[in-house]
Amino acid sequence: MKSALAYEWVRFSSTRSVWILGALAIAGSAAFAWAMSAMMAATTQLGSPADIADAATIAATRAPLAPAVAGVLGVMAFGQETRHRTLLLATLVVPRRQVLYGAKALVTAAAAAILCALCLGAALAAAYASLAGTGTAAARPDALALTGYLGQTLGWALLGLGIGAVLPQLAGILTLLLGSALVEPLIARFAGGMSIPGVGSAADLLPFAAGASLVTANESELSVSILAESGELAPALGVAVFSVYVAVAMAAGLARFRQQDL
Amino acid sequence: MIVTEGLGKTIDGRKIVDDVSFELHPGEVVGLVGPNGAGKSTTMKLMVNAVRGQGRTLFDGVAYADMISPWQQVGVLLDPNMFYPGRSARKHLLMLARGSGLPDSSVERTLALTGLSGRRSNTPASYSLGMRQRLGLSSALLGDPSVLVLDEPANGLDVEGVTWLRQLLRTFAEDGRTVLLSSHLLAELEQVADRVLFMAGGRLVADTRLSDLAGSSDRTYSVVRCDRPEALATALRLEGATVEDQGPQQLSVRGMPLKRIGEIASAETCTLYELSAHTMSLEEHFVDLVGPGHRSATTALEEIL
Repeated sequence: MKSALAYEWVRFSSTRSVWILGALAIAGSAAFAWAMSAMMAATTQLGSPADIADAATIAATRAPLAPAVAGVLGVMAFGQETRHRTLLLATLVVPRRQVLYGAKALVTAAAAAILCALCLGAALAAAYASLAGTGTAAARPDALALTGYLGQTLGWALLGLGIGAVLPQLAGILTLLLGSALVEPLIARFAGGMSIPGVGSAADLLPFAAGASLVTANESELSVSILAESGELAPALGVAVFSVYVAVAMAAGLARFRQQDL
Repeated sequence: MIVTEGLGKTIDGRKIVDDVSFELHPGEVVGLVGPNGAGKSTTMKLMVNAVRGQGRTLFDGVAYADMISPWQQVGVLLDPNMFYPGRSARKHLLMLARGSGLPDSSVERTLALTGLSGRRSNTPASYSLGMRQRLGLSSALLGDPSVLVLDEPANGLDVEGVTWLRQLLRTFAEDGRTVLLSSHLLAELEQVADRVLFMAGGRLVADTRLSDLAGSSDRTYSVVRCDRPEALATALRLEGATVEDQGPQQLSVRGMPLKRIGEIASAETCTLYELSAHTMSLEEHFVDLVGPGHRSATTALEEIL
């Protein structure tokens, strides 16, 4: 496993698009947080340090860039290698495919965690800088929401890895991005009326909604009033549902990879 | 020793590789030769578990998929275009070295061995096909393995490169190591291989030492041009020669020395315009055996070898 991890780390860190996407995600997260903080400051009375902390947390954790880019990086873990035929080389160096798959998952997760931390850092810095104009002292951001954002990002990365092992790169990226931004909201619109006793809306059980519940479960008054967020799964249930989707995607990816002719 | 048993691969009901078995011994350079689509590449991929199929290959008793660090035992080149275009050659090899648990110094060693040291910071996308082959060979040689499995390694190499490759492979085998290399050009193997495995239609149709093939009597023939070829052909056939009509007034004769052909022509009062001896190159011999319009490769090779 150590050698497989070393292979995967050199492969990952020497792929140009990884750095480009990472830089875009960090810059985009900062810009998103800046704009959202400014919008909240302009529309809402942020009178206490706790309000400032809430606003900064919301601004930093509602940007979809870190999870989306982590998902794309997950898809690329297989997609890039398939496209350039280096996956064959990888299996020659590490012939135990489950070991190679495990190494890809670990490196992708580690990279997603680093990316998420950098995006959060940049977004919080931008949000606090934007909110400094309100003249109110700031408190620390909500650690639970930040942890949830990290979990959501890791989930997207591993979901992407599983999808990338099953589908070609472009199809995998489109599945992930259009699935979250277009397909799932459409399904949610139809499923929104369906209620499951003890759970809530059936729409909350959809994969990306379940992932989002990791961030929004600890809803503050500000998030309810500004973003009209409500009705998400309870944190534990959200983690469980999202984990099932990730586990299914990962298992499907491993099954496909183990049988794949290269 | 490498033992392959019953290798097979079927795609959409068509047998790409069909029950291929052979053994490779230390110190041998073995050529895997056959026309395009004969199943050479798939056979090599089956050996190293890159495609799933029937049969098994054991390298000193261990399957490739069960090796912990296979790159240190078996060097493989299946395609010179397996690289990420934005990654330098050095990084590419470093990735493979780290993945194989090899020291970083192995990268510089193989770059020097394959003559790529001066271009190590360039990306393979800027390389010629010959340089990509050298990079592929660098990858295969990284772990200083005891076995090399190379699919068409001479493709794209210039004359100097081909000479270098031959010397490299011969030196490799003289160290008691084993080389399996494929080619659809038998001439490429003529100067480097000890043994040749012929594949056609997914089957291994012959396994012979190159020296036996080179000494095959079917490679030599005589060309006769005369004024009455029909009469001469009949007389030669009666004496046991194999005669083929090669066009106006020209015959190809096998299985009879020039002197005897001349004597029979004289007895038949034929006027000779030409009587000459020829030896087919191994390439021509191979095309003669498996080329289109000929008998099935299996039958022909079994008869000859």
